[in-house]
Amino acid sequence: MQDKEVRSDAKLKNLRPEMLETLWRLRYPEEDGEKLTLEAIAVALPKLVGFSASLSSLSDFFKWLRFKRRMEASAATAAQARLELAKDPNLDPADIERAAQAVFTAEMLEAGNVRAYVALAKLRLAGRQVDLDRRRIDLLEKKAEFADLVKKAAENKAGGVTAEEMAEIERKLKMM
Amino acid sequence: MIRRTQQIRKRILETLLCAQGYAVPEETLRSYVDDFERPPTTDDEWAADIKFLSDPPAPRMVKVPAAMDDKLIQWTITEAGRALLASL
Repeated sequence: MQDKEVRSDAKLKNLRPEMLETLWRLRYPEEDGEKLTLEAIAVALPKLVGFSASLSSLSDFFKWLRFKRRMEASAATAAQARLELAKDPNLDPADIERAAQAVFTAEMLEAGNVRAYVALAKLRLAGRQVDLDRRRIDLLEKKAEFADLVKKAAENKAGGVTAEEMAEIERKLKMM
Repeated sequence: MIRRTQQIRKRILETLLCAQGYAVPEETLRSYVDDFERPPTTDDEWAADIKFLSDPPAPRMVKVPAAMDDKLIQWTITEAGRALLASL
């Protein structure tokens, strides 16, 4: 009996998307539709899909279908955000993927709307760009300081900088 | 007990499969599984199944870092996970 239930459960979950939609609408009709009970759906099932299922299998199936639809809606929202972000030429594909994942996660956690996530994702990416710029400026400042020190050392030294010393300085600059 | 363990693992993997390649927060995964399982999973049970499914060398699911929240744990299914799900 348990095996039979497992089989009908698997069969239900593997139905074509159109049939999944039909079954969903029987249970959760749009505005004026008549909502069918699980018992009524169990009776109609053999005619619709060619096999029968127990009430507990059907109950589990509708729980699964509700969750699957929520996942699909979240994935669609993430895809919408991905399209939105792809319009920004400053974002690379990895950034866009990360942002789309963040949207999906937030949707699954039931936290809000897509515009807010896109704005948040952009803000975060912009923040990262500011960090990179700041690091770049720090590096340039260090290089400038080092160049000043070298210049002063060369001015204080009789005969200037030798070829070996110059090569060493260039090596150090490259390492910065 | 074996049947319950197998059922929990199956539900975890089928949830990840529904996510169309996105990673699913662990709290969402557990709430989905607990929606079906009676009694709901205990912490030990959950930890053991997560470990089983994510253990190397061929993990059935892998952790994906969350861009906006370092503390958030989220998972995505692997090819090994798809294969295991098909066999359950």
